[in-house]
Amino acid sequence: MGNMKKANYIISVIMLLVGVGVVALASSLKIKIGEGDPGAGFWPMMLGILIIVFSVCLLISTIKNKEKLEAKTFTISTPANIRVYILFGIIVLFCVVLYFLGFYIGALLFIPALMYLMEVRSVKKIALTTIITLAAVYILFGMLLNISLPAPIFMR
Amino acid sequence: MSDILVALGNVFTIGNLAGLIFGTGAGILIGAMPGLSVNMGIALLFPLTFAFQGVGGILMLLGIYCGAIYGGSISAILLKTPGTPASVATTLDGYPMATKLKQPGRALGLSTFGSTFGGIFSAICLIIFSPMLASVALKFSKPEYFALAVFGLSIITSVSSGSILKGLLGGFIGLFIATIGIDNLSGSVRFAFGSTYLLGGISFVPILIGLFAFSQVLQSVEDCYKEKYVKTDVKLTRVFPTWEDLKRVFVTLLRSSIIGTFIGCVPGTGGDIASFVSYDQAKRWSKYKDNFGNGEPEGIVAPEAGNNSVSGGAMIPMLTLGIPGDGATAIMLGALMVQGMQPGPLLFKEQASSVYAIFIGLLLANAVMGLMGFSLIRVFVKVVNIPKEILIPVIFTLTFVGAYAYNNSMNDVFVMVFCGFLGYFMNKTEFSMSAIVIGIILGALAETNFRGALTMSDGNFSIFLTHPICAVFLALAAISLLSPVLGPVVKKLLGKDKAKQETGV
Repeated sequence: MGNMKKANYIISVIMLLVGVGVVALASSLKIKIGEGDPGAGFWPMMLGILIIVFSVCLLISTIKNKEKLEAKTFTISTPANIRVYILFGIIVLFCVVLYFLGFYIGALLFIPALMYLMEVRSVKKIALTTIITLAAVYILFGMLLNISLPAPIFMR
Repeated sequence: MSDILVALGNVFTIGNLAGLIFGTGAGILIGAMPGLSVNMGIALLFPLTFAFQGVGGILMLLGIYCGAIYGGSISAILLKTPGTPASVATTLDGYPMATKLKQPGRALGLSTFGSTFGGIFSAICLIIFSPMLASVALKFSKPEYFALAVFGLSIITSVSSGSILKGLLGGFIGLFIATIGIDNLSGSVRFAFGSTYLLGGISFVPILIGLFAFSQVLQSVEDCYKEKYVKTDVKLTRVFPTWEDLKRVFVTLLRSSIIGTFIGCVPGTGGDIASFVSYDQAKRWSKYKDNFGNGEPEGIVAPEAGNNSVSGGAMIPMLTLGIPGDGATAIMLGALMVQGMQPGPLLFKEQASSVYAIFIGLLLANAVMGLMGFSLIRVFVKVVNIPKEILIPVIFTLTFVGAYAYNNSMNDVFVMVFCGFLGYFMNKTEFSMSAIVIGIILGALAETNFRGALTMSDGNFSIFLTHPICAVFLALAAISLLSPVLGPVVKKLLGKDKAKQETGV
C-alpha cells in the first residue's frame, strides 16, 4: 500500500530535479531582457523556475498536511498491481517484437499473452479474439483507411 | 454566403458523411462501455480521422465527441455504471426506471431524446453566438492572445480534482514539452539533444493516446482482477418516448439545455457539473419532486440534455478564443490543430468555410446520434456485455495502431508507451493528466504571443497591464488560479459574518 505523503515527497523531489534541469538547459539558450523578444531561453527558463517553486510548495504542503496525506492510500503491491507490472514487461517485449517483426506478428503474440495474463484459458476464445481483432485492423486501417502499420525489419 | 455553400458542399459528400456516421457510432460504442471515458474515446479513435482529408476528419471527430457523451448514459441506465462521469446523474433515475419499473426502453428513449435535444440546442447557440464573440475577439493583438492562453491554462485548477499543485506542475511540464524542437521565432533548437525525432517537437497524439487511453486500459487490467463477469439481459420494447412523456419533460429539457450550454461556455467546467446542476434544477422546479430517485422521466432528460448541451457550449470559447472549456474540449482543440485548424478569432476570417462545416457537422452529429440512438439502441446495449478480457486486448491493439499511424514512427509508439506507464502511476497519485495536455496544446500559443507582445513593447512588461482586455483576462486567470485557495477563506469569512448576524454579536 502506498500513501499520498510518500508519493508527494517523491514527486516533489523528481519535479525539483526536472525544474533544475530545465533551468540549466535553458540557461545555455539566448536570454535578453528589456530589448524586444526575450529570446528562445526566456520562456523555458521561466517554466523551470515555476516548476522549482511549485515543487517546493508541494513539499511544504505535504509536510504541513502529513497526517491527512498519510491516511490517503493507494495500491501498488497487490496481486492486481503485480499483474499490471508483468504486463509492463510484456508491453516492452511487444515493442521490441513490433520493431523487428512488425505489427501483425507482434500482435499475434501480444494479444494471446495478454489474454493469458488476464486468466483466459480457453484456446478458442484467445484464437478468435486475436484473429478477429487483427482481421478488423487489417480491413479497417490497412485496406479501407490505407494506413500503414509497422512492417517486419526484413520487409522495410 | 459563399462560405456556407462551400461548407455544405464539403460536408455533404459520401465519404465525409460516412466518416461522421462512423465516428458517431464508434463514439456511442466507446461511451457505452463502462470505464471508457469521453477523453479516452476521442484519444483512441482520433487516429482514424487521419485517413480523412480536410473537413472529413473534423466531422468524424465531432461525431466521436457527441456520440461518446451520449453513449455514457446507456451503461448508466442499464448497469448503474456510468460510461462517463457526465452520466453519473443519469443513474439516479435511469437505473430505477430500468430495473424497479422494468422500463429500460423508456429510460433509454428518454435519455436519447434528452441528449439529442440538448446537443442540437447547443449547436444552434454555437451558430448564433460564436460569430458575435469572434468579431469582438478579432480586435485582439498579441498581448490579448497571450492573456487568453493564460486564461485557458487557468482551467487546470478545475480539471485537477485531486491536487491543484500537482495539476499546475503538470501544466508547466506540458508547457515545457511544447518548447521542445525548433523555436519558431528565432530558429534555435531547444532541448533536442541531437535527436532528429525531437527536432520537430514531441507529437501531441502519442502523448494523448498514452495518457488518456493506454494508462486507462492498464488501470482496467488492475480493476478487473478476479472480477466476476455478470451478463445483463436487457429486453427492449418501445424506445421512442410517448407523447405524454414528452409533454411532461419539455420544460425540463429546455431549462437543462440552457443550463448545459451556459456551463459549457465557462472554461473549467464540463459535462459532469452541467448534468448535476440540471438534475438539481429539474428536481427543484418539478411537480413530481417526490418521484425523483424512483425513475422520474424528468430526472433522466435533465442530466442528459445538460451534459450533451455542453458540447456546443464548450465549443463557443474553443472556436472563437482558442481556449478549451474542459478536458474533452482541450483534446478536441488539439485534435483540430493536428487536423490543420487553428481555433481562435482568425479562424472565422481565414477559414470561414471550415467554421461553417463545424457548425453543420455538430448539428448533423447530434441528429445522427439521435437517429442511431432510436434505431440501433438494441445493438449498443449489447456492448455493455462485452467481457473485459476481450475488450482490453482490442483497445491495447488500437492504441498501438493509433500511435504509429499518426507519423508512421516507432518513436511515437515508444512515447505513447512511456506516457501510458507514467499515466498509470499519475492516476494513482492524483496527478492530473488533462493539465499536461492543456499545457502542451496552449504552450505554443502562450509563448509565441508572450514574446510577440514583448517585441511590440521593446521588452517592456507593462504592455500586459496597459492593454485593458489583456489585463482583464490576466485578472480572471489569476482569480481562477487562486480560487481554490481563496474560496475556502471567503466561505469562512462569510460564515463568520452570518454567524455574527444570527447571534447578534
